[in-house]
Amino acid sequence: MAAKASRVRRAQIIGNELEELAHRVSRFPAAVGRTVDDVEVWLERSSSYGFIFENGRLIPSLSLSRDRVALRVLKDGQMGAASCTRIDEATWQACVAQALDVARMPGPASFASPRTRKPGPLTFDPDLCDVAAVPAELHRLADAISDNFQHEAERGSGSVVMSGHLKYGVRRYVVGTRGGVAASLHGALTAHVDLDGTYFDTFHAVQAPESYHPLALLGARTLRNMPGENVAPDSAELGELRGRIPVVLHPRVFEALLRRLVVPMLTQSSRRSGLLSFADGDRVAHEGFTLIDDAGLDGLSSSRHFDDEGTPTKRNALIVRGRLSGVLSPRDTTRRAAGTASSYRIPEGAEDPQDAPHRQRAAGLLAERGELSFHEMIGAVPRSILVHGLLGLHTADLARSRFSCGISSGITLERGRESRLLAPGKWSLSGSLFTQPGGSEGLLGDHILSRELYDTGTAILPYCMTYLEVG
Amino acid sequence: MSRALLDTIFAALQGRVVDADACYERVLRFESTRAHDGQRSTTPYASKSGLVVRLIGTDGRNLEVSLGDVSPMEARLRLDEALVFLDALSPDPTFRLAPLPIRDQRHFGPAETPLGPPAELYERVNRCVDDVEALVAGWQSGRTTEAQVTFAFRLYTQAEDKIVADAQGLFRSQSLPQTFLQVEFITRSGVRRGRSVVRFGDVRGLDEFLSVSGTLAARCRLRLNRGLDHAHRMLDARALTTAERAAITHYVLEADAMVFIHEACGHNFEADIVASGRSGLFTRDGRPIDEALGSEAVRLVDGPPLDALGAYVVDRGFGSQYIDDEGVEVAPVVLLDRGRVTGMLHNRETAARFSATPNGRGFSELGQPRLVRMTNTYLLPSSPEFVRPTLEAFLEGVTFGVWLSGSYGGQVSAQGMSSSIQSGRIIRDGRLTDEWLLPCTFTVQTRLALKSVESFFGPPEFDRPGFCGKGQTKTVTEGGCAARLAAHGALSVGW
Repeated sequence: MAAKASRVRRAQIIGNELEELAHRVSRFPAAVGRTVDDVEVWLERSSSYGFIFENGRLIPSLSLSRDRVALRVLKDGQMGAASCTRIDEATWQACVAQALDVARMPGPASFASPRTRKPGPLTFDPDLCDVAAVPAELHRLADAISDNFQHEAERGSGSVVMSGHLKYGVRRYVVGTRGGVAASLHGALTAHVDLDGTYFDTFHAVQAPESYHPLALLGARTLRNMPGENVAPDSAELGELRGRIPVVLHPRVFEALLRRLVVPMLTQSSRRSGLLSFADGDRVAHEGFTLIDDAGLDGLSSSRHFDDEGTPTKRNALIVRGRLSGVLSPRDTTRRAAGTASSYRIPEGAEDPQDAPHRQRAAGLLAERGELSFHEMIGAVPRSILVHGLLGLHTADLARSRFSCGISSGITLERGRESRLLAPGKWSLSGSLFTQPGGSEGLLGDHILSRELYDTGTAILPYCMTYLEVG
Repeated sequence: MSRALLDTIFAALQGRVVDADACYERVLRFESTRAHDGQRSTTPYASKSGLVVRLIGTDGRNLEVSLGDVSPMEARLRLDEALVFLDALSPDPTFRLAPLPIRDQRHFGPAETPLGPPAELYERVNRCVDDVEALVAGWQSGRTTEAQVTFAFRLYTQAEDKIVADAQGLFRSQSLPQTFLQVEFITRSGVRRGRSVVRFGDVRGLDEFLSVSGTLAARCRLRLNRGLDHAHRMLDARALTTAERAAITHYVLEADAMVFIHEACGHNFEADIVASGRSGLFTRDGRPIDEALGSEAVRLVDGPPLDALGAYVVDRGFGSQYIDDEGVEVAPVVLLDRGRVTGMLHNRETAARFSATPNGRGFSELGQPRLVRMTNTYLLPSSPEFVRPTLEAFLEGVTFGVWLSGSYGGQVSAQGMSSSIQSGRIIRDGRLTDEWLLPCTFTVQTRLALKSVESFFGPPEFDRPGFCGKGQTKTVTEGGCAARLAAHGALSVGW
């Protein structure tokens, strides 16, 4: 009973803390006074509790309240910016003074007027928090996952290198201006197990499951059904599996490609710079392909009530039945354009979020499903490979929408059945997303999507079968 | 303030833990970007701090906790929460820390690293962006090409202060400036696209990259011009055919394509990766899988860059620091000499595990847990006999080779490494041709990566900065001399 009460207190503390943060942010713009026309405070507080698995050893990982604060000021149509890592009004005042000193960037006529929306189960589930943020409970669960997976792995091959993690993370976002304040709370329990770098399983939940017992078997259950043998691309047993061959992309891989090579291209910034040469209505993909940026999908940790400017999010259709439907665009006060509410402080390179400029990015990705079931799809070709993970996708070439990566994890499929593991370090995959002039068809131009949709934690996507260069 | 914070922490922990140490970092940064669409954005003042505390309890229970940017009072509250977490852990009888080689109270680096007034920096950096715009305009006007060029610009300059202290009175501090500049060019001609990225970085202030009059330094402009030229060349470049790929006899990697050294070799020498069993070069107990991991020609070093006389220059190199985040001085480590294993990268925990001396590789990203990290990693000839005096001599005997330049980054697994190459050129019968190759992926199998290094050419270069992942970002450099590798099954390029 006492333990239960203690758990409930934890969720309440997190909720109360968000309210207090929102209150402090809402008061600050007024406290700055009339030396500025407006102030925008963006705040992210994150904390995480968890364990790293390493060959049966549990390494604790605890990060308590990492704060990131970005401030923007408007003065006579000019904008200035500054950032810090402390939630403290005196520090913020110092930031405002510095930002004012160099307020020479053209700014909007005004900042957004954020409105609070009550954090609900869409992004934060107190029941999940009450269990997952308790160190002893988390330790017990981590121990069980590690033990079960290690045991199953050793049963198969004897000598193994097992790694992974179990983590409960909480994020609080607050955006405030003189026009109002918006705050939201996000919590997610994630786990990952990896065996010898060739096989892995993942878990992601923003809502409390009925039971945590299945999670204790993460990886262990599916590992039993995995093929035991490795195969190289030039294997004599399977014949040549090189060149342009059928490839099935796991939804996680499909999402990674879309986020790296498609979404950043479908922005007003890309259009302005000439990188995006398509106009709205142009055919850019196979007619069966529809891609939506949806920030309101239940159960995704990428879901957001408002973007990093405080604008309430909405659904943005990017590609509908193969045609470009629109691009992600910022709010434009001079043209009185609302934009797509998709401005996020997404860091690139080694930027920190609080210093990153607002970039147009998708929150949750949703693609329309296909007509064939996964098994009908993979049974339609005699041999193909199913790719679970890529190595080095961050180096892909956005300008040419082209990627060339190692395959970190995958299996061969023969007559619709999983047959062998792809030998680690020996396989590569390359292609482009959009069709290249004079080149082979891009992935978006020719593919089959599965009827089943898969929740990656940040997107809901089908499996994608297409032809890509394998080496 | 930071000293008071650390004193508060150790006072609060007295009698509640067996031992504790902490690293506090504070960064003041000026950052400016320009996107391809011309949009400029500046954060003239970014102040960030982080604190990591390692708590060692009874029976080897241990926990590194990130406390964030906290006041002494908040630190006490968060430590209480961390101690609850520590108590919930199982005993870890294997946990030990190697003793610090030197325990003292000392400051490293310049006494102060002032950034300068943000308004002044703003003017100076804006002038740099104007310089690049002028450079692009000049480049376009000097050519008949119809290609359009856009560029993205990112520059930050920062001052970082760090304090490492422990419950027994250790107090070591470091001040370090750092500046990073990156320009990405994208060329367009009709529907074709070309791209190149040029980077500069060092543990110096902004002045390092500017001329006396405040314009971009000549050496920067020279490399930017080369980058522009490469991006333009990519418009007419091609990929090798399957038959051509099979016919490759040699690979030549320029110093700026050496991310493969960092990925394929460097990570596998990080002792925490070795201990976890994920190194492709060592067994879990620290024994090399193969004593001769490279050819006789290979010397692989992690540490400060070298001057013309071969001496280490400790205040140079984007990845350099005087002390690590455990307070250990960063020592140069020769990882391979004449192809044979001679060293490994350690923090205090891995040094204890492998009965070695810590060599200053325990780093964290602004208050995150400390991991074993590289600094500046470079590939050199093990002796002058492997250096060729001319390009002709270097390429002699290469029937059909590829010359690989630049990199967009890479990623490693235990078995292999994949790095993205910016551009290539074909070598035919010992001659570097003007046949340009599109960006490609250079893939190697870790254990065999350096087995076929035959020779080197040119002076070593150490100014190719990068950012290494591993869950936290750390500044690094890859470099060395241009290296020639004979083709074999463990090396490949793909498009």
